[in-house]
This record gives sequence, C-alpha cells and structure tokens, in this order.
Amino acid sequence: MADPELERRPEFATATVAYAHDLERLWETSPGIAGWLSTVDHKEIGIRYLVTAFAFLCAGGIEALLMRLQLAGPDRHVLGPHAYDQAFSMHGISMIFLYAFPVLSGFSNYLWPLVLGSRDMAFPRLNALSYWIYVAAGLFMYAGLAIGQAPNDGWYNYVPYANREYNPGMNEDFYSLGMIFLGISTTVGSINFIVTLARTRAPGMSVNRLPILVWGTLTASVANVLAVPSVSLAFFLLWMDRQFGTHFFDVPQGGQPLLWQHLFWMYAHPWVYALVLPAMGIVSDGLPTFCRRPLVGYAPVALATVATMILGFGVWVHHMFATGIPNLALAFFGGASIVIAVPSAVAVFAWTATIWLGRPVITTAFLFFASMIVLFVIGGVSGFMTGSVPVDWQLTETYFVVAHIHYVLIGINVFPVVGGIYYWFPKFTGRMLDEKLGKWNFWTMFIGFNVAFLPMHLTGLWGMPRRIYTYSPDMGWTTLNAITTVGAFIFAIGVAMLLINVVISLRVGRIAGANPWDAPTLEWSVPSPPPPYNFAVIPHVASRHPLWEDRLGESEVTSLVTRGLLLDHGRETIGTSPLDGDPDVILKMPGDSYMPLLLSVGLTMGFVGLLVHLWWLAVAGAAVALIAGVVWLWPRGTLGQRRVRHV
Amino acid sequence: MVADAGAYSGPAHPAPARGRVRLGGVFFGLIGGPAAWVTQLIVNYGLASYSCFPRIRPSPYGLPGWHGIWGGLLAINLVAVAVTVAAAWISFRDWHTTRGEHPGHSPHALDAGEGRTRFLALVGIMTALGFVAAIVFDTVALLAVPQCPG
Amino acid sequence: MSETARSLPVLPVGTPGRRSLGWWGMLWAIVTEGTLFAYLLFSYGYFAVQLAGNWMPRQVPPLRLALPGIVLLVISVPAMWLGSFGARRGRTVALLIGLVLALALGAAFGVLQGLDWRSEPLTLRQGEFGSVYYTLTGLHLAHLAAGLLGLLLMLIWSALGYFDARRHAPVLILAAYWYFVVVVGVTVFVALYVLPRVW
Repeated sequence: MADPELERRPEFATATVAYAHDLERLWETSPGIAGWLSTVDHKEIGIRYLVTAFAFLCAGGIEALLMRLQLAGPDRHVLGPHAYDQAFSMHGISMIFLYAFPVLSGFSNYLWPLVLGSRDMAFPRLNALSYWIYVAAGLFMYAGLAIGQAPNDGWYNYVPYANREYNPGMNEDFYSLGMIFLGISTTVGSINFIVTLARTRAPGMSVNRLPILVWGTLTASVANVLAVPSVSLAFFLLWMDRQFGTHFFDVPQGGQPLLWQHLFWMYAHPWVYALVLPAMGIVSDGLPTFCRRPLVGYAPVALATVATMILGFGVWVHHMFATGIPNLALAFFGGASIVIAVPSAVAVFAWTATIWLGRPVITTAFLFFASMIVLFVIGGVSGFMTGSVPVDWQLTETYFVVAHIHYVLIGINVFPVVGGIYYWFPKFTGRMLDEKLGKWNFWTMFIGFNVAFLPMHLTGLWGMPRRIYTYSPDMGWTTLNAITTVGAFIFAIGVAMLLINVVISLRVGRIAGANPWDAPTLEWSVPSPPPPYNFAVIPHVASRHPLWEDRLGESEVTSLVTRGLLLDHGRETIGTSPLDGDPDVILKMPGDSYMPLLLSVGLTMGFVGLLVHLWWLAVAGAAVALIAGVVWLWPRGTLGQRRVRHV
Repeated sequence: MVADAGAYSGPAHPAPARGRVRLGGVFFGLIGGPAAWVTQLIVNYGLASYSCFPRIRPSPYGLPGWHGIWGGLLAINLVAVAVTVAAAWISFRDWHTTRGEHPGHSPHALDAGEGRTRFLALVGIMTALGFVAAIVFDTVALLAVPQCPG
Repeated sequence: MSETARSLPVLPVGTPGRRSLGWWGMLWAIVTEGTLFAYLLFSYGYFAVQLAGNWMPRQVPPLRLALPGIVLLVISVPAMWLGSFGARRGRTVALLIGLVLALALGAAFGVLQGLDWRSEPLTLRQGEFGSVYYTLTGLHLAHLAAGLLGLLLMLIWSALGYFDARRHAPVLILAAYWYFVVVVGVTVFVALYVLPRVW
C-alpha cells in the first residue's frame, strides 16, 4: 500500500482501553492558563459562548429593569431622556446581537459535532476566533456605555438621527464599528457550521437522517452568510459619512435615508429568524424525547424551517410600511408577511401532534418547550396582524409592536434556550439540574413574562408610542405600565432562579450518566461530559434515531455506535459527502493554537484605532492580525497540507 | 464480514434509488419555486414602486408611459407560477419513480423516514406547492390594491 | 436487503484538493464577499434611480488608466490557471511561473487603479457618485490586496517545495479567491466606467 499519510483504509473495530488512552492524549487541551487561551475544543468554546451570552442577557436585563422603573409611573426621574435613549439602545443591542444569537451558537457549537458523530467542528481554530471576536465586539460596544457614550438611536439606528450632524458624540461610532466587528464573528461562525454539516458527518447520515436539531442552525447560517454583509455595509457607509464626509445618508446632498432602512432590514429581518429557527430546532429535538415518540412530520418541519427563512428574506419592507412607499409595492410584502404564517403553523401543528400522540413526561425542560408553542402562537398572531399594511399603519411605533417582538424573542428564544439548558446540562456537566427548583423557575418565568407583556398589547392599542422616556398621568397608561413593571421583575426573579439552580447543581446535582432522558440521538451515546475526542470510534448511522432503533423498528439495519472507524494517526475525523454521508476523506484536524486569540487582539487594536483616530494603532493592529493569519495558514505536514520528506 | 479485522462494512447505502433520477432535476424541484417567488417579488416591487414614485416626488396617477405596467406585473407572476408548477411536477415525477426506496418502512409519507432520494423529491413537491401559494398571495395584492393612489 | 453491506474504499488523508475543508470554506467566503459587493451595487443602483440624471459628475471617470488595468487583471486569470494546473500535475516550474505572472499582473492593476485615483478630479465628498466610486473601487482594492498577499505567500511556499501532485490544496483555494477578485473587478469596471457612458 502507498504512503499511509497520503491514503489508507481506516480500520474498523471496537475501541480498546489503550486506544482510548491514546486518543485522550492526542485530543486533550493542556491544563492551566495556556490551554485556556489556546483551546479549540468545540465543547469548551460552546460553554464559553453560553456563559458569555448569559452575561450579556443579564446586562440587557438590568437595562430593561431600569427602563421599567422609569416607566412604572408617569413623570418619574429614574433615568433622564439621554440615559433612557442609551438604555433602550443597549438593551436591544445586548439582547438581539450579544445574547439571542450567540447563545444559540453556544448550543450548536457544543452539540453539532456530538449529534453529527464527529470529533470537532470543520474549522476548530475558526471556531475559537469566532468566540474571541464576539467577546471583543461585545466589550467594544459596552465600552461606549462605560464612558457614557453608548449607542442611542435604537438598535435599528435610523438615519438621519444617526448622522453626525444630529448625533455628534462617539455613540454611533461605537455602534458602527462594533457591528462591523461582530459581523466578522457571525460570518466565520456561520461558514463553519455550513461546512461542518456538509462535510463532517458520521458515515451513513444522509440528509434525511439529520437530527432535526441541525436544520435551524444550518438555515440560519446560510442566511447569515447572505445577510450580514448588508448590515456591515450599512454601518460602514454610516461610519464613512460620519468620519470622512461621504454623502450616502446625508439628505441635503442627496443622501437616501430609506437606503439605510433597506440595507438594515434586508439584514435584520432574516436575522430575527436566525434568532428563532435554531431555538425551534431545540424544541423539535427535545420535545419528542419527553413525549417518548419521534417528532410528527420530520419532513414538513425541516422544510418549514428552510421555507420560513426563504420567505423571511422577502418581507423586509414590512418594517417600512409607514415610509411612503407606494401601496401596491407594500401589498406584495404584506402578502409575503402573511404567507409566512403557513410554515410557522406547520411547525406548531407538528409539535402539538407530537405531544398529543405521545406519552408526555412533565419535566422542567418539557414545560419550557411546550410553553414555547403557546407563546409562539400569541407572538405569531400579533405578527400576522401587523403583516397587514393598514393594521400596521395603526400599530407601528406603539407598544403593540414591543409586545410582539418580546413574545417572539422571549417566547421562541429564551424559553427554548432555558429548556435546552435543563435538557443538555447533564451532557455539559455530568450532573442533573434540580427539578423541583426547576418547576419553580419555569412557573415564575412564565407568569412573570405574561404579566409583563400580555397587557402591553393593550398599552399599544391605547396609543402609547415606543421609545418615549416618560408620559403624563392623564394618558391612561399608568396602571398598565405598573403591571408590566411588576411582571418584568417577576420574570427577572425567574431568570435568577435558573442561575441559582445552575450554581447549586454544578456542586450537588444528581450524577446523570450518559443518557439520563433516554433520548434518541448520538450525543447521548457518549459519556457525560464527553471525552475531548467525543467518539472513540466514528459511529455509522442507519436512521434518524440511532439510540431508539430497537423500539421503533424503522429500519432493518441498525446503526453502529460502539463499533466503528478507528482513527488515531494524529487528530483525525472522517469527511463525508454532503447528500449521502459517504466517507470520502480522512481529515486531519488542527490542535490548540494561540493564533485565533492573537488575531482577535490585532483586530481589536485595529477597531479601537479606527474609533479614536489613532491611525498608527489601527496599522499596528492590522500588522498583528496579519502575522497571526500567516502563522495560522502556514502549511503544516501534520495536517497533510504540504509535502513531508520521509527519512 | 465485520469480524475481519481492518475491513469495514457499513449498513446499506441511504439512497439506493439515487441512480434513477437526475440530480439536476432534484435541485430544480427544490429551488425552482423559491427562486421564482423571490424574483417576482423583487422585480414587481421595483417596477410597482418606480411607476408611482419615480425619483424624489410621488406621481399619484402613475408615470406617463407606465400605465401598461400592471399587465406586465401580472405576466411576471404567471411565469413565476408556471416555473413553480414545473418544479412541482418534476419533483412529483421523481417521487413517483423512487417511492419504493426502502419498501415496507415508515408508512406515513410525510415522515419519509428512509430513502434519501424520495425524501428530497417529497420535500420538493411540498416546497413548490407552498411557493405557488406564496406567489398567488402576491397576485391577490395585484388584483385587490390600486396601483398608485395612496 | 436488496443491497449488501458495503466495504469502505481506500480514502485519501489530509487535505486532498477539492475534498479539503478549506476549499469548501473558501467557496462560502466567496459567497458572502460576493453578497457584500451585490449590496453595494444595489445601493449604487438605488442612487441612480432616485437621483436620476443629476448625480453624475460632469466628466465620467476616464478610461485612460482603467481600461489597461482591467485588461491586465483579466489576463491574470490564465496565469493563475497555469499555476494551479502546475500544482495539480506536480510541475513546480509551471506553478511558479503562473504565480509570478498573476502576482505581477494583479499588482500592475493595483498600481494603475492607484494612479487613476490620483488623476481623478472626482473626490470622496463630491456628491453620491464620488462616495460610491471610491467606496466600490476601494473595497475591491482591499480584496485585491488580500489576493496579492496570498499570491506572495503561495510563491514562497511553492519555492520552498511544499506542494506536489498530491498536496496542493492551498493553491486551488487561492486560485478560487483570485478568480472571484477578477470577476468583481470586471463588474466594478462595468458599473463605474461603462454604464455611465451608455446611459
């Protein structure tokens, strides 16, 4: 046979203790600070994403509570108008950009290689880079708050408010550069997910056997690749307008404010779906486990996920119904906004049928997943209403829209995420979260949320505009606002219960074992927490539910989980074809590296230099980033990237 | 076979009927509908906006010479429907050819448990039919909403 | 079962050409960067429609330097192709010649574009067209610079004898990016130098 470093036939067997020991040595991250800074283990990075996203959730939550204190009654003075502007802008930025999407990236980073039967993401170092840039960009935007110059034109940041003429501080520069910076993280992360799914699945995992979990993140990732450039461009043009006197949005010179809205919403509407589709995937994946049966209608649910996103690219103008665009043109987007209810309804019926036809086990995770269906219906109906052009003219810019976005984002993102924490915490840590505290946690969050946001629909119908920092006592909004404030604090207590449960259970939680929920997918076939190499042997998949095959009887052949491909000539995993999961290459995976961190440091220096006009710092940052990039890409014999001379 | 150390044997191929359909047809079945929908949406949006709001000032009775545009918009929609129906038909044909892939399993067509080829064909049928509905929704707007006056 | 169990073939190891993950990653990077230019061209079209006739400068950007520049950039495609052909066949000389030519032609385009900027009466702050013109050409130059840097690195790696007929994925990945840079260059040329003349 030829050179085994060029081609070989993988061995097929059961793992021995010595072999597992070798793998451990090959894949483990070195201990201490060195390992912490250089690790590329997707599980470590996934946990970091989750923890960091929750930190931003808490920050955004505190901003929300301050706003609720301010609005609890008329004419209050907790926050002045300028502080209030920064509070609602940073609340939106924190929740939408720094919590809702990264938290889902956290789940996907941790879970994808495990559910796909692989040993890491396709680009482990890119994964680390994506995380470091996310942290840096988040801190970059929060640095504005620290010096009292946080973004203050809302997360949609409309021009001409955001032009330098009307907003001369650094507020918008923090936002513009911060969003371009964050866009790099989102883009490289999304490409990583797409290639991971296309190329590094367990043999036999054809597209019809994909775990339902992955469809949401796959769809969101493709959407990000197509949508993020739009917002990066918009913020780049805005920054150029503000710093170099270009005229993209400068009205007296012929600049076009609506161009901002087009570029922003062409990105931001698909982005809203990127925040919910992976979370719907969590529900589609977790709910069947607790209903003790497969999801009803796998094919329609997978398709509904993709179709929602495609339609989601054609509804951006429904954020611009009140801008004076001609009626017929608006009506096309109204039609698209209403037809998007169809795939959403498909998913709702599939989940309901799964509960109906199953034998539900009422765990905390189940409660979070099932309640999401209710909240999704409420948020979906209010969205359907504003999809109609005349109704939107009545409701836009009122608290009705605020209620809608919170039913959608808390209902379809936060509830599935917390459910997902209860579901996968045993896999992450080896210990169970406390169920009794969990039930309290659920009911507190559920009641608090609805007390806060259900009356808000009425606040909006009674005409209270968004983004005002106070109101007069004779507007008739006082009682409703007081109720919302009470609900917001109850909800916050519920979130605190989750954090307390996590802290307690990390120490004294019940030991979980590999598969505490008796769940069907591959991540539950490995120990909790999984070893650094995930799978000692690469499994071979013969159905959608490898661990339920004996009871479902769907397929005559069975998946091979304990017996599979031995790959231990260095860090290796298998590469498979996109449609059918046919093995076609043995991939060499990179080890831990400081380069992702160094590259992020360089980029951070660069963006800080651009922010404060220290051009030498920007150039130095670019040079650091460049050096890190060259070292990163230098071809390595151990990765099979270049010729090695054999002695 | 498995006992033979070093040799590998996995379960059967997930798409035994893959050779009986053309891959290009499968992809057309999947993306024909969405592509037609997005094209008609963006083109019609551009034309409908421009005919009423050229440049900086609105033109409430429509731009001179653009009155015939309504028929053009309808024609675009009809072409989009035709493309999408063609995608549905090709997917249906593929599904009909491959419906027996892995016989005897998963009686419910919508669960389409096994057989990658027939899975993609079934998804193609559903996609195309869904996007016919989406295009019809936009056509309803064309029939119900006056072209320019606000 | 109708089909019996299959046995696994001998598999290539590492980063074999277009089966390498880097190749797939580059394809998606091209998609996202291409989309960036598409949004910028959309903005250009939006200005053209909204501002109609009165947004063009009195003198449209001249072709004196731009036309030779774009011709040189297009000629770099066969040069790059020669390089990747050499890599696939393991012919280091063809690889080196291709890379050197592509580098020289790409750099010449960059220099001509820079001279064009200097001789251009238009400024960044001169109306929408000036803003779009410099942003579009500037973003393309940034992508070109990344490509030139890649070519330089590839030249060093090739000269060090890193690549042969079985190990040359970096060359193919760079070539894909280079073709993308050329396609964008031609599109930008048509948008900024040709269309204002035919309107």
